[in-house]
Order: sequence, then structure tokens, then C-alpha cells
Amino acid sequence: MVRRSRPWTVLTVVILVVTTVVFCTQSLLFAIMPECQFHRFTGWHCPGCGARRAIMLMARGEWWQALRMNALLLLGALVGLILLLRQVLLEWRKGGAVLPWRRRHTVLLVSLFLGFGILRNIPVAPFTWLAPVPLR
Amino acid sequence: MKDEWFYSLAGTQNGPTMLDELRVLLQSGQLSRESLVWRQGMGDWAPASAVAELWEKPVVADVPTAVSPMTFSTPASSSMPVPPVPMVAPQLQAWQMGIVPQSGLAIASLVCGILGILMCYVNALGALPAVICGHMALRRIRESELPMAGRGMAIAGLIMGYLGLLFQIGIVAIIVFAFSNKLIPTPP
Repeated sequence: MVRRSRPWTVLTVVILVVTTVVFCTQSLLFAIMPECQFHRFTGWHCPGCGARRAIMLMARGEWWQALRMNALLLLGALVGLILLLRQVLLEWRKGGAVLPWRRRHTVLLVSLFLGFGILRNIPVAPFTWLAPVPLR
Repeated sequence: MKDEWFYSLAGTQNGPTMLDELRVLLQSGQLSRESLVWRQGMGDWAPASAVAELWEKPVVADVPTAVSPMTFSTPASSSMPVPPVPMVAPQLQAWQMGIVPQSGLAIASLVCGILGILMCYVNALGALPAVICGHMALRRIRESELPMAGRGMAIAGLIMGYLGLLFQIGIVAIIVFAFSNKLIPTPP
């Protein structure tokens, strides 16, 4: 008998717990977090800039504004959530779930993060939509 | 050899063995329907229940010698007895069945790698576990007796992890440079 492990279920539970804790304690958590030192010293936005504001806005239910702060975080979280649910369902229905991961997925993922980090710093109209804005 | 089969028993790879021996092992209950089996030509390891030829009745090897000329002229398939349709699912790749174990470390490496890139100035918090888990996953997959999925994810996690470490080093360098040149902007 092959030993069954359910890594996707473990991961989903961990992510759900961490997300709940972050949402519940965000005012305290974000108060002790210093501002982004990368932005402070360079003036540029890194791929994660705006994540804190996005989470605060999501907690308030302002999804459109949250998307405006960090589109990659929100869309990535949505895709990730769908993939996680698929994996967990497969794990419990078939006993195991392998995410078929090819080289092109790695290339896509790395170029998405690096590309987002570069594009959001271009100060021209369509790209400025990717850069976070100060909270109103 | 195409007829040589391998199977997993108690977590170790066994074989090569012949098809008939494997059938005996399955019928005697020494191997379960979930046991992974593989022979050359199969894309990946598959549970025994998904491999149709293990459950077919033995093919009659003796072709009738007295064959009429009429039979010879027809296609071979129509003159052969039709094999019984096996009562199992069609053979799928093992990853489609979701049976081959996927390295949990590889998944952890990928998730930490993504987090590492997103953590503005504390990338190392995600990147270091990503690099450690990625290398551990690759070693475990390489040394695993049974096939294990997750190599691609481990490599993706490693690339993201090293990128995160690079970011971290870059940020530390920028901060050190700013301090040493007294370029520190006043905090808002």
C-alpha cells in the first residue's frame, strides 16, 4: 500500500490560517511594520509594493481599489486559490494530486514577477495603472 | 524488455518480473490494486487497477493451426477471438490519475519563492526557506526509489528564491551606500 500524503491540503489549511490571522490583526501588524525600505531609498516600486494597502482595502471590501494597489497580488491570489481548491479536491477524491508543472510555467512565473516589477515603474499612462497610489 | 514489469511493494521498487508473475502477485493479494506498476513504454508509474493488461484473461497463445484459406484472406483482427473488454478504467498517465506522490518540499519551495519576491525589503524571509526547501526537494526526488513529481516546481522555487536573495542583497547594498554617502532621505 502506497502511503498517502496530502501536501496540498496542508498548504491550503496553513494559507487559510495565516490569511485569517493577517486579516484579523492587520491594524496591529501593519502598525509595527516599517515602510518599504526599497521604495524609501530608491523611489521605485518593487513587485510587492502596495500589498499592505491592498490587504487593508480588501478587508474593507473595496476590491477595485485593492486591485489598483497591487494587481499581481490580487490576480495571483485568485488563480492560486482556484488551483489550490482543484488540488485539494483531487487529493480527496483520487488520493493524490500532482500539479503538472512544465518548464514554460517556470518561465511564465519568473517573467510575470520581474515584468510586473519593471512595468509598474514606467511613468507612462497604461503602466502607471500598475503602480500603487497613496491611500485616500 | 517490454515484457519486464516493475512494481512497488512496501515503498521499494521491485522487479523486473514477467506479466504472469505480476498477475499472480495481484491475484494472491500480495499486491493491491493501488500498488504502482511500470514497464518500459508506459509514460509513468500507474496503479495496478489502471493497467488494463494486468486484468485481462490470459491471451490464448495457440493460434488454430487448421485455418481455412478463407480466413487467411480476411484481416487478422476479424479472425482472432475478440478479447474481453476489461472492467477497468482506460489506462491513464499516472499524473492524470494523481497517484504519483508530489514532493511537499517542492510545493513549499515554490510558495516561499513567490512570497520572497513579494516581500519588498525582507525578501530573505521567504527566499531562504525557498532555496533550502528547493534543494532538499531536488535531492529527495533524485534519491527517491519510486518516481516522484515536483522537480519543475522545485526548480521554479529555487529560481524565485535566488532572485529574492539577490533583491535582498541589492537592497542592503543600496541602504549601506545611502548611509555611507549621507544620502538618507528624511522619513515622511
